[in-house]
Amino acid sequence: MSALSGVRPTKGYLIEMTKRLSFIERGCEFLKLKRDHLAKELSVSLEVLRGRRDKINERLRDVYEDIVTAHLALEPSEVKSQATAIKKIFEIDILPKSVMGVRYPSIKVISKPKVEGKLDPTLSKAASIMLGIFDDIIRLAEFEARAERVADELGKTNRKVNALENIVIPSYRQVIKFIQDKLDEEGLEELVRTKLIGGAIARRRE
Amino acid sequence: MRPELAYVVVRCHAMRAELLAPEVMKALVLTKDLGEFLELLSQTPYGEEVGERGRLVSATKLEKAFNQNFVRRLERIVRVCPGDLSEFLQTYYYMRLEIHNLKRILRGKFSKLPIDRIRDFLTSLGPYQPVFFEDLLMAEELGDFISLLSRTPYAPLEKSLVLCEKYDILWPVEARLNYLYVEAVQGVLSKIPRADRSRVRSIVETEADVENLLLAINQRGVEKVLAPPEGVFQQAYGFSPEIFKELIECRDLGEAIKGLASPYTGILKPILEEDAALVRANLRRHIYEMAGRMRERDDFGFPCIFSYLSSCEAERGELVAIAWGKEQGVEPKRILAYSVLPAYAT
Repeated sequence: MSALSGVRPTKGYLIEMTKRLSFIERGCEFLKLKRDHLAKELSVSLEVLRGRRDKINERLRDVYEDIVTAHLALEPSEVKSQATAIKKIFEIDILPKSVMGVRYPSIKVISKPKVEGKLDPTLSKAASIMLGIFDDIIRLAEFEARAERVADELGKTNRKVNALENIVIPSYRQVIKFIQDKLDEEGLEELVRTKLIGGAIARRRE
Repeated sequence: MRPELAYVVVRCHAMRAELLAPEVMKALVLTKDLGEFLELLSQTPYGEEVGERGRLVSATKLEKAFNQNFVRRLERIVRVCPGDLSEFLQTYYYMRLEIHNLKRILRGKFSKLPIDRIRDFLTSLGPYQPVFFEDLLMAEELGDFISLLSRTPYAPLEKSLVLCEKYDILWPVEARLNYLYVEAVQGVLSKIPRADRSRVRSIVETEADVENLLLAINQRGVEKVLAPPEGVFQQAYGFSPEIFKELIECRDLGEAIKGLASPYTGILKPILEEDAALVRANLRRHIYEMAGRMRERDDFGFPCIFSYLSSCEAERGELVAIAWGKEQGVEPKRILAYSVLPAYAT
């Protein structure tokens, strides 16, 4: 269906359409600002993510070496048995947070297991480092979820801006132009008609 | 020599042939993966074990198989040993395994692990499995566990278990178990020939001392040492018991370790580089070497039996480590670093 179907070529409608167009254009500007901000946020996040991930991988590699050593010295079943002796587990709470209206999960660590002095010394060091890495992994997961949501929102905002810029605003402009043309045409017709009537009256007087 | 002892000695000599030769061990360490390891192992006296459990089993299952093999070998010797020697070996080996199991049950109970999972960590001792173990496994609370122990040789654990409940820590119980083991072995030392007593005593005491030293060192840096060390480490065999407290509180661990007598300084040296695993390897090497030296002195008496069983135990530990290492793709060099059997480790 054409954008012009159902259009009433009246002055009132023109004024309303112009108002709507300016509102949409302003909205589009805001969305563009949001898009730029989200894009900036995402690019920074990606850089940070890459750095953090590399660091965590490096630390995990070190811990893995310690765990391998513990397995070689203590035997796998003893390592597993020792690991089960840790009573408390990680307790976390997930709360919603928002950046530019984008909600993402924020993880709050409520309690952590205590491993100092509770495991065999062969495992103790690896367990303490691992516990520290868990904190970083949680922060990384939170950051990843945030980056994912920001990227998602960026995609949506981009689609909205494109739709407004390429479809909605041009169609409104087309409608406004159509009404203006129609009104100009009607005005011209009115002028010609007035001129003709004026001419006829003048001829009659002569 | 007593005829029944002669029979055991001959059996030990015959069974020694079942032990894996150093070159076989080295070849096992150098295998590419677990598949190749199993293939090579199937050509050894362990072939039956590997065959029974199907091809390409996991390292966990292999660990159980190696443990069972060791228990079977032990049983074959203990069964034919004269009464007094049998009593000593039962205390020395079965009680050691029993304590391992007890520690694992305790850890499981401590963290309220399901019974099946705890059972999974245990080594079956065959006919020598104490009957009260099943009851201990079934105990729902740590309190029930304590009351069940009161009717067993582990009754003195009660005080440490109270500490464990009070401070929410397990190491005081582990330290007490180490003492109980030494006391039990000391109690049956009279059952072995007089000439071997001092070496065996030295082995168990060194082992308990090193284990307790590791427990003490592990408390260093812990914000608040909850259980008073003097209450937990009541005794030391190769040095003064005050050393434990000193090790926990001193600034320079190196100096404190240097102050210990031989063989502790040498065994504990790697702890300065935070390598507790190497401390354990050093301890195992020390025991293995001591048993070897006993055998050099007398290959046709008790030392022959003791050395054979020590070799079996060392071989079991080596195979477990190699199997796990192969499953995880650990480099042979690293496996060898913590190896005990010196013939191929060096």
